Amino acid sequence: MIARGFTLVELLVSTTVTLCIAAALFAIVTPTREVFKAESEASDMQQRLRIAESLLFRDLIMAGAGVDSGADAGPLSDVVPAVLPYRLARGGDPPGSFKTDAVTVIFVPSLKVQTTIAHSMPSQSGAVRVNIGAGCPLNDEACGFTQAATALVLEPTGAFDLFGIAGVTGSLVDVRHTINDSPAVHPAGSRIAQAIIRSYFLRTDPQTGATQLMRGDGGGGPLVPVVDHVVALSFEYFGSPAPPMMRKPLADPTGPWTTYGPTPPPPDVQTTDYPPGENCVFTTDGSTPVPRLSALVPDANATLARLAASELTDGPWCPDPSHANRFDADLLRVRKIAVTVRVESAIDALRGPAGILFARAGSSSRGLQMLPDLEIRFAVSPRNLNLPR
Amino acid sequence: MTFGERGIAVIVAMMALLIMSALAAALVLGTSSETIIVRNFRTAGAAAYAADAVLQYALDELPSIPDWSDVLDGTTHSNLTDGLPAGERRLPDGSTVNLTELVNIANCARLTPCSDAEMNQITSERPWGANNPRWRLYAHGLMADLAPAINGSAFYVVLLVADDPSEVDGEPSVDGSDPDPGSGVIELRAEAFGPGGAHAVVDATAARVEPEEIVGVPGTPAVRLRSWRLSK
Repeated sequence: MIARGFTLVELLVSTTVTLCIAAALFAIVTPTREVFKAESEASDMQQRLRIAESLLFRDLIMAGAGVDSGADAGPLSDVVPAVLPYRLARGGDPPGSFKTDAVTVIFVPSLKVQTTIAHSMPSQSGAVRVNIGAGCPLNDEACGFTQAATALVLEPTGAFDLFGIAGVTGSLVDVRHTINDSPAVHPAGSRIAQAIIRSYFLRTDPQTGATQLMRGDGGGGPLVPVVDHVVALSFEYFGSPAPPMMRKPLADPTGPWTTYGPTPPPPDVQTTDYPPGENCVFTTDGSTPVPRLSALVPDANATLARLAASELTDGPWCPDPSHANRFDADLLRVRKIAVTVRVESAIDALRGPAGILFARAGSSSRGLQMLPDLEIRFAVSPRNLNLPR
Repeated sequence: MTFGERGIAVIVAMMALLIMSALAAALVLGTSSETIIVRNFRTAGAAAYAADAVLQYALDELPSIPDWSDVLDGTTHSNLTDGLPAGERRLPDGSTVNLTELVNIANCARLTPCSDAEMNQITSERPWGANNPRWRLYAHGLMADLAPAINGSAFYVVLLVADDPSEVDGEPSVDGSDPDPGSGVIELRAEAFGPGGAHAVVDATAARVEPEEIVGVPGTPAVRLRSWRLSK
């Protein structure tokens, strides 16, 4: 073995070769790390979309499930709207308004907690005694109502109210009104049932400026953020083009009496601000109910008609125009809801300049480091609003 | 190896390879996890539609059955059956559904057969005592048999029937007669089982519509759903 050192040339060559190899390796490793980071975030974005879709689908598909027994058994849309284009709650959006990025869904979740009220009940917080009717749980004076549940009270006129249940003592249910108070009084015998009220809307986080998909329960409970970094949410409504029709004579003891919407009172009876024999969906020709709602033109190649904001905010109003919690009668037509949800990357460094690809600008300026917003659009036809009629 | 051939290039290359292999493995893991999540998401949605399909199938059959007590006591079954309404069924993906256990769970929340006392027990899920629903299998079979046009459907569907609990006659296997509030009303529970443990349950209340109600509104079916609930 010759014991000599390396020459300067040998060192320079070997150092150059080593640097070249190291540079090549780093050139590969660095983008790989970026791709890894982006892939992880892309998965997270898709997961957030799935959660949003799943939550909205499961609530919208159930919209309108109503009471199961009695003369008024059937979907809620026989009387009240099951889908409202705004956030229904005390302190929420004004009744009768329209928001493209908010929705409220109402349904009765179970056949166990459905009965009637034993005495008249003001449309305010208080206590109400409930009757024990067919279908109530045995040995339960409150027909299954429990603390912290939400109760829906509805009348054949289309008047409805929501209450959070503060407590139960025997058959006396202590209720807290969760929508606008009104001087209206629900007569004895009005329906009361446990209900699920779900409102979805967007809220901007004041700390980060990011928007969140929020969910409210309509029963006075806290608002809950369910999905982060949702930058767009919109709802479109499609409904029955046909006006409501009478299904059977008013004298028949068992409903449903109409194809949808509240049943009009007998010709000489006045139950709302509308003239005797009329209500928000039916007028009269003197002896026979006549639809107050007009026929709509279905979309091309479709059976349903698009319900624009103007149609859902121009009346006629149910139960009547002066009611504190009135709603547009055209909401009773709703049969399908199209939903659009868009999420963004939670990482600023993966978002580019605001535009078509990004709703909110980020700090990225390189294509390899950009994750465009993801958008999903789906339509839900609530089964209870599409039952054979 | 001579003294002059020693260096760190091999070590650097191996370390770089190690780092890249770790990153690649993480990417593969992430992608395969995503695939599994997507598959479960898709089958969960498909299960709900399969359950709804067998419910609609039963609604088409029920109007032609003159007395629903025959359905409630097990005398009459659907055309969709794949043998006796008991025992184990194997799904296309190799998983199994035990029909006997399915009915027992619905009736008394356990796998083994239920006694009358157990079925009449008042619980939070079954609070009607002697009027508690006594579920029976009405339809059961592969979704592929129900809808042959859907190629390769891997779902198994069942439909359970029971008397409406608003009936207060204490006869859960007999459909009451007028003026009983539950006359002509039954409960339906449609379930679908699919790959990867997918399972969906739809509960519905169906009511018979009297023929005179059909007059004036063409197309009104002789059975009307009062409610439809996706329970799981």
